[in-house]
Amino acid sequence: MNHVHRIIHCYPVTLCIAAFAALLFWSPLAEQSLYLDVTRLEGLQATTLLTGHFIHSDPEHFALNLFALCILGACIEQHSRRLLIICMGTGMASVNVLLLSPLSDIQLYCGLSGLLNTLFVVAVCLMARRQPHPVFGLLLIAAISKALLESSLDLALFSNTTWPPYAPSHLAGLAGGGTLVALHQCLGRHPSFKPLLRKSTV
Amino acid sequence: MPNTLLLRIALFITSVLVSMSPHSFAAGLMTPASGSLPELEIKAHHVAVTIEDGYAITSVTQTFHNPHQQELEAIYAFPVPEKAAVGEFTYWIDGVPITGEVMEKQRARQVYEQEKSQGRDTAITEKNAYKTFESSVYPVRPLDDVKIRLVYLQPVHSDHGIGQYRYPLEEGGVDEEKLAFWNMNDRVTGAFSFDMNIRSSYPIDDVRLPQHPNAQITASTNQLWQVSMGNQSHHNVDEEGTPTSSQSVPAAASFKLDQDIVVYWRHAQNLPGAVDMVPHRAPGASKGTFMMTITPGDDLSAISGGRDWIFVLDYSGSMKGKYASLVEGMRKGLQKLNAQDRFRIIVFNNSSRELTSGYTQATPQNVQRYVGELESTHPKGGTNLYAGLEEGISDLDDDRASAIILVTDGVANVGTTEKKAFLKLLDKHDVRLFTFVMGNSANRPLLDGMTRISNGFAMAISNSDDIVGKLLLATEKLNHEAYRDVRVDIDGVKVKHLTPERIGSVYRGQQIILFGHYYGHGPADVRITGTVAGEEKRYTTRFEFPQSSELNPEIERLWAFAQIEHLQAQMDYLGTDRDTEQAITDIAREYGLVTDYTSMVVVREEVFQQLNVARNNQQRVANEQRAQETRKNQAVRNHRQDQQQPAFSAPRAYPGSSGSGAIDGIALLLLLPLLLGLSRNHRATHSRSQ
Repeated sequence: MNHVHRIIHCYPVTLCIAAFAALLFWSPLAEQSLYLDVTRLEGLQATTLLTGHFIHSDPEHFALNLFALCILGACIEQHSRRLLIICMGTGMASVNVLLLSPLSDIQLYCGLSGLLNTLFVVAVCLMARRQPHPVFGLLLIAAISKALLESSLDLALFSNTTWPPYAPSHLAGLAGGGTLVALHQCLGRHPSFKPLLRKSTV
Repeated sequence: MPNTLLLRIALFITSVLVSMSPHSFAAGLMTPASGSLPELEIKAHHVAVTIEDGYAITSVTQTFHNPHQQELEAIYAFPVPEKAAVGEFTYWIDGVPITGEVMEKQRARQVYEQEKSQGRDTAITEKNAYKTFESSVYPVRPLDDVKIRLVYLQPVHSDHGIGQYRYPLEEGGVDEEKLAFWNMNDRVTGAFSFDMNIRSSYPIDDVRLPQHPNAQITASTNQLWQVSMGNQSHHNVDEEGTPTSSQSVPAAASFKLDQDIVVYWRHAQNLPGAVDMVPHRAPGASKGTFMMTITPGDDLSAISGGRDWIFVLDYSGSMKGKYASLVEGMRKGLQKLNAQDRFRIIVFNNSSRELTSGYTQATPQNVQRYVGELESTHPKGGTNLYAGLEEGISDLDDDRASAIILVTDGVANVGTTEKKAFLKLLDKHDVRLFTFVMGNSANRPLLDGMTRISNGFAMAISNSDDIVGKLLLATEKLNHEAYRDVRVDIDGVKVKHLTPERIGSVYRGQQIILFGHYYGHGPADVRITGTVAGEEKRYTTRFEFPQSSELNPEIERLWAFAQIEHLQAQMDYLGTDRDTEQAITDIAREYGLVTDYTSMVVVREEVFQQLNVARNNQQRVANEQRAQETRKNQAVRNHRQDQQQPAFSAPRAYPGSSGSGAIDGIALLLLLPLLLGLSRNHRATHSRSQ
């Protein structure tokens, strides 16, 4: 019981995000109106720019993404809750920009994994800073190579979800993460940037 | 997507062919080409269409005029609309509308000829196989008019949420004998109007007529849409097809019946997969009839990996003038092939030949080479479709998924032409056939039968179609897995005469439309099963079959027509037999339908009595008209039956692809080091805090 309390105490933001995703997954509204449809973003539909990322097409899709969210969210939240929220926002924005750009040819989108790639880059960099090891560099190279390969072959490797995987969203997420890390490198010591990344009380 | 690009090859060819084909043939009045008889005029042509409850009712009212001093016979021919059941033919005699009765084909012709020989008013509507319906009227007296009305019913499908209705007017020009003998007069000298009412239980976003931009489209609500066009400023017509405008009508510009009228409507996005049912059962009747429309949720995955594509291209004489465009289409398409795919090209006219030397990788060199081969091939001769298909189907690689894309605009007229032989050929091989059929006079029964048996699909393309839209829909189907061996089982009420008996394959975006009879009433379990990529899929729901429901009597005729099509397909495969022919005739007579074996004849009321012909069809038509009037005055009804227990969890498929962010096994492996690091940090933080 202590252990559960400790996890709730240490990772409340991650757990809230996971709970939100679970709520939407089981919501009867989800399958009708919460997917991100790039052709319908007028009025309230614009909220699908957020909800679309938390909708999942089937239980397998949901379970895998939720598992990854818990690990990556915890890795970042361990460092800073605020940073986790910034990463989520940046990830969503990166994927949305891609979906709304002429580069994308899809109309409907759902799933967390695009923005999870943003979290992945930041989590790896945080981990590498804390425990320097070549494996973290290799992880980044592997993730980028995989996303590039999937995008060039127009498929997501080893994925079998109901909706076809959309590999470019992974690249967009990685780019979002890379941008955040780069911003931190350039501006991290600037006084106005520091408060954003200050350590939480974990 | 690589496969998308591949598909575009075949469809591009089709689009090019369609855009190039001339509008030489049309619906119209036929006059002997020998000039032995003078031409009649089509004075008025009014079309009223109502689309509601999953089917369309098309009513065509025409007036013919004889500007000459001798009595003449009017013969009006028009292409057979897809899945259309002609159920009403009315001829105004002495200003009184008289509805026709269905008789066995030879007897109907005999009655018509007999009345004609005695100079009495008579009319007949017959079906000329898959090519045309022909309505003959006698006499058209000197300087006088005659008026007829024809009503046909057809189920309306939506594909990827896009509904389509086509009023076919353009003839394919494939019946050479007919073309040699007759001239067609396709000009409406007086009023022309086309009015459509769409009453949809699912909201509609938009309606469009790609080739008729001047049509007036209005929406009362997102469920009620109206389309109207004509050559007069006010062309609203009453139920007898007479313009009702009280204002002065300007002189009408003549209108040619040479171009199909195609109407599309797009349903709102994110509608659920659903099971709809429209029942009909008279109070106290032991038997009810239903039409069930199943719109699956979008849960078919995209296909990846290499496939073999066999292009079978028609280069018979009718392709002259289109062939250069076909070559250009192939060039553009082949250049975009996926490196994992292979292709073969077979062309056919009187015989067939393969241009490629077996399966060929799509390297730039190969593409250039085979486009050159196509360029040096010149269209001529007849259409030996069997030879083309036989060559295409030979040498399939069992280890790879294969598909044949057949592009043709005609009929098989050289070599083996029996439908049975085509079906046997395809039945022997595990290959999907996708046919792209141009025009209204291609041998649809043959092409549909072949695609059905190979679990592929046939797509009709009209010159008035939105070709790009059609490309999208076909591409979506071919790029996704399909449901195979689909079955629908109903438990809880007794159901008989389900048609189609075998559903086969259902592609992304397609609906399943089922007709059947039911006995008893109350809740029933409906189970839809099938396989996708070898894995079993099962969807269930439960809903009521009503004790009585009187608002859709047309469902009975639609069931009858579907049953006749099923029996016809059975004969095509197993061979003609007298019992099946008789069964078709009996159903057609009971339900009042014009078929290959029955025609609809109109004579004066007293002649019907003399001939001892019961006025069953007149009664049926009156009943249908009453129901239509009642429906018109009611709000649009919702026929979705699985609201309480939805059969599908995903929304239905829409054009435009969808995608998801998905974590896979490799991504999970990449997370492992992070998980270890997280765990170590967590322990360290915890021990520090202690």
